[in-house]
Amino acid sequence: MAETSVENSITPDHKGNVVSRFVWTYVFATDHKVIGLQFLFSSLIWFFVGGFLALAVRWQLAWPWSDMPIFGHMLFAESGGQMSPGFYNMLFTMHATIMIFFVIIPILAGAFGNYLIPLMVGAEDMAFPRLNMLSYWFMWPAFACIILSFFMPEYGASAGWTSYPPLSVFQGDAQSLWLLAMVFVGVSSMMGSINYLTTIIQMRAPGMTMFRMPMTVWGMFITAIMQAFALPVLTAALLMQLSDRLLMTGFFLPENIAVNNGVATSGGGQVLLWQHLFWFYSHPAVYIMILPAMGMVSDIISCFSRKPLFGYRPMVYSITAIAGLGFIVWGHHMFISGMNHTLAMSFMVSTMLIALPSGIKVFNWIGTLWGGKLQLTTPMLFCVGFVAMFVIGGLSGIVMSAPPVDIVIHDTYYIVAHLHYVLFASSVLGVLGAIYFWFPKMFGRMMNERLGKIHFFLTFVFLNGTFFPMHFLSRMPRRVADPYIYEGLKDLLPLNQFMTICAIGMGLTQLIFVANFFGSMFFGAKAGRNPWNANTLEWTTVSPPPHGNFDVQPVVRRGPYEYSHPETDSDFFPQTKTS
Amino acid sequence: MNETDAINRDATGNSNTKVFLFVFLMLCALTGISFWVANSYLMENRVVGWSAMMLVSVAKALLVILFFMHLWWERAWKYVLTIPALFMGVLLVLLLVPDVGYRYLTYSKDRRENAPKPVVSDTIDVNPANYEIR
Amino acid sequence: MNSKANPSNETDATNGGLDGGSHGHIELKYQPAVPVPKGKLAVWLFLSTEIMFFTALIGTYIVLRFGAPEGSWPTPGDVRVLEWLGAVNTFVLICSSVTIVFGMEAAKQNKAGKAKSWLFGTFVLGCVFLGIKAYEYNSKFEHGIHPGTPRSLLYDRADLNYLSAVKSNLDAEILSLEKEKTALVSESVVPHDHDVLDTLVLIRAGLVQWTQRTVGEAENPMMRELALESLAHQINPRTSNPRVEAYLASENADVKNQIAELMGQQETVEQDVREMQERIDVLSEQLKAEQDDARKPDIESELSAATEASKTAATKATELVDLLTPLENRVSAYEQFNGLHEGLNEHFHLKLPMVIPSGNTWANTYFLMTGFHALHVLGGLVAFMVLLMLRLDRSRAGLMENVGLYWHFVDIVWIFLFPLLYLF
Ligand code: HEM
Ligand SMILES: [Cu+2]
Repeated sequence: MAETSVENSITPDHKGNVVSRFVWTYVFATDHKVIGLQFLFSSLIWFFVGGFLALAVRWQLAWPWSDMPIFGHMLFAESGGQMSPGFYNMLFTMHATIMIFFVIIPILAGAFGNYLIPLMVGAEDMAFPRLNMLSYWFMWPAFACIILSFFMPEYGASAGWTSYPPLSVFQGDAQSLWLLAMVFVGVSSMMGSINYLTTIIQMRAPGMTMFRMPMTVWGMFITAIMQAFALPVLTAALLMQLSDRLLMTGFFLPENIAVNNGVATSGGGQVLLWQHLFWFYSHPAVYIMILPAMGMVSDIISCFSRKPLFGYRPMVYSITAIAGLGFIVWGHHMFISGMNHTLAMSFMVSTMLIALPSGIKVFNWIGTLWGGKLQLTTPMLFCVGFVAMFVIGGLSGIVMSAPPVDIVIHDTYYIVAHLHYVLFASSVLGVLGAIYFWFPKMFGRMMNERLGKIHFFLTFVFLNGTFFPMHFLSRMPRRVADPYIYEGLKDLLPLNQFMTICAIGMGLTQLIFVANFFGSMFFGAKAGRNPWNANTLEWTTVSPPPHGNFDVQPVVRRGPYEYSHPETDSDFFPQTKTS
Repeated sequence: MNETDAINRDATGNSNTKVFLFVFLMLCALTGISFWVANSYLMENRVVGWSAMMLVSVAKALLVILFFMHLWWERAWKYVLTIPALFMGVLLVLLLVPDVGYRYLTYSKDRRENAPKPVVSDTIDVNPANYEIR
Repeated sequence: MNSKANPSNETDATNGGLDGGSHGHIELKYQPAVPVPKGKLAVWLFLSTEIMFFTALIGTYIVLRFGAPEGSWPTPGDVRVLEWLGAVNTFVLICSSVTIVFGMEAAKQNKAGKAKSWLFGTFVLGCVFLGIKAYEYNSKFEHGIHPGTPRSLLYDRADLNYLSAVKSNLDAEILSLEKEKTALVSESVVPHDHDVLDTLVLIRAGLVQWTQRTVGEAENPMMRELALESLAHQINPRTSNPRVEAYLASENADVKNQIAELMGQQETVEQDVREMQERIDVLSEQLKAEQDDARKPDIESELSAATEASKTAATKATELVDLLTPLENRVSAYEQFNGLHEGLNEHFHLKLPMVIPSGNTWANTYFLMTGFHALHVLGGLVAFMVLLMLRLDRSRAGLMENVGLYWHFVDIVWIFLFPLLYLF
């Protein structure tokens, strides 16, 4: 351990040429900050890949069967640039897969979890730096599988991100690659979550009791617990589906279904079993995709309201409750699957219950904003946007949680509206806010405020333009390449064109972010240790923090949200400050 | 807390050895019991036999966890770690059970009587290549 | 876990002696929430994830097993499971759990040599477990029990799909044996002992083609089912099946009656043929002897009529032989195969498809659960090998404990798998 840690630390006295130094610093990195940035950069790259796929989906929905700009002629020259329905299936499948497994989960848990947890609890690094390194490395086989799958005859997995059998078992080899990739992502997340849990439980600085931890750390903590319990189940299910495809066992298929050149599967499996196992992971996964964002948003909102977080403990309890309830609601994705009715009813009740802790959180964010000295910086704008958008997404969730309603709107654009309000309009806005907020800590320079605000306003407008109209499309089925073959849906074409134009606008807006990100990395104003006058521990050290994180032993004396505290003159009261 | 420290807390010399040997004998005996149950009259009512065997397994697992894995001597944190995992495991299985789909081995009377007469030609339409021999 | 790489940190009370202290930066103090080393905590967390993994597998087993048709789950005998062998393996794992505990105790008392021998004992027991597992797997593969088609020879029910599988399996086997035989003949080696080929040919004629014919001709679906069922029963009888046996016996009596009747017919036809021949002989004599040209045409026409009749009779005779051969094949197949209470497959060491209801589902779940368990055992053995290369003194007791925790978990999984797979 000791040798490698010394090797990969960014020490100036390191001997060796530039290449070996680069390799040791960035490839064999065991420093949590470097690994965090590795996750950040790979996720951002995938974010743009996933975005392109989404735009292609939108293109087809707005101008069906027309020549896609640039790519149409590259891929489909013989058919005059017109994509095939199968290609459309690939587009939405890979879009969801990449956004969920390669962007949001790695950027929240991988990037921010890695970067912030040790800094915020006052640790020099993660509990197991080499395990941490492995957890990033395990993303690469997954990346490789997915990239490879794009070059398969069917251009990639196309059974939807939910990969329901029997459909998924009739797919080509890309589907096997997809399953393998998900196994690797799972192993990576599992290693990460064990590491986070150990770090948070055992490596908090003196005085950092559990209830003095910032909400970000709480979010990561609960997320890690959820991952630890939910992921193994998905891994098992993925391996079983892989064996159904490759060995033709029959875990998820009725007997004697001909797969693979007419060879029948053996044994009688159960289709619903896959759905249960899949959603046992994937519903908790949607909270894995938002709890860390909720934590970071809580920190940012409190900081820029210059006010303690309203109801810190209820916030903690409510994310714990969300996590607990999150494990017993998965059946709401299966209401029309033919599942047991009594079971469906209990899933309905628990789903409705989950709105309660979610509501508490929204209430507390508003309570924090209420009467605060609001500083509308870019990160704050994104976070306020998060709260507003989460209300919309949460409300549509409750609408769908009643089976009678869901039976009608399941698999329509209403669902797409819901999931994009919670995932894009909430999680991604939260992530962007967090990037603006912690960028100074990561790179030692501020991001450009003016560009940031433009970025926010355009994103906000375009995202609502793209996703809000979907609420009215509860009669338009999702995952259909050309809905307009139905007479009754023909009138939806103009609306879809409007949404696509907004989506393109939203895509272009992100270029402002790219410019701001890289520009600020090199030319941004130098940030000090604590540019936002925030309380938490990471702001007490240098920006960017050195290897080992802290130059003085942090000793925590109070909670993280003591803004505008009566005992001090300044409006913030760092956790370590002696009064 | 030092690693060796935590372990030495319960290292009271020989008495542990006796405990471990006792547990070992218990485990062997319990294995024998479940073997006996499987071949005894208890299996006449299968649910009774199954429950008995599962109880024996739970007892064995408890013995291993408590003594071999030292949980007996650990402090309260043991509950925080083990109970949620147990709860989640039991929950998953319990909620899977209502959706067991029952399959049937025989065709229904209706389906049998209305089944089309099978065509059996001398060359049955199955590609022998799909049936690997040996 | 890399918990104990740096023994010099042993006295460091704050970070549990993990991940080697500071290098070039200040050493931080922590307030751990749980009074155990980080490595041990991480192992426990890892075991929680493992619990969920195996729960998913066991849940799958439960769903598939209880979804299986009523009363169809294979018995141990059906799928070549030896209960006592599973019990032996349970015993082996329990022993290995004990040895590793003693190894850890020895390490705690700083008796490195003793610790190493205990650990080595554990390693050996783990290998024994895997050896027995390998033997069990092999005995299943030998009987055509595999996870997944097309290697699996198990079928859920005796239907046309099954019949065609038997047929193509048999055809391919006969073809390859014939090729072998001609190869031997062309090398002018005297082919020895081609009993197997004869048996297979008889099975094809007397069982498979017969069943195929019966199924094709029977109007009554029940008869079709019985015919298919009896084929499956003759290949691999699961239990004694009086219904099928009665069917076979009565069918045999029936066939014998038919044969007797046909033989009777055959006799008359042969009589006819003989008579006609005689008459032809007489007539041709007559024709030769006849001097009067005017009477010749009469005799000639009589002769041609007789030839015609003789031809018809001969055709009738060959037709009768054609009718008789399958029946006779059937009877000889019945006589040769019916006494074999262990079935054709077992008796002649054949690999014909077998009907075991839910057999494939059983095989899938069995190989799934024992396979992942065996992989975990393998992982433990690798960890033991690494440990065996170290000096197992007091400083390594923590590491020993962590590996031991994992090993005990593997043991616990088996404690549940044993009754589920062998005794239920
Ligand atoms: C107030 C809390 C929430 C409730 C009551 C709720 C309810 C639901 C229901 C009932 C569905 C199934 C709709 C259907 O397929 O017919 C659903 C789908 C979905 N939800 Fe939520 N939800 C909530 C929050 C969230 C959050 C916070 C996220 C993610 C961050 C999320 C992500 C999703 C996704 C991705 C889907 C679609 C899955 C798919 O079919 O592809 N939901 N939600
Ligand atoms: Cu859900």
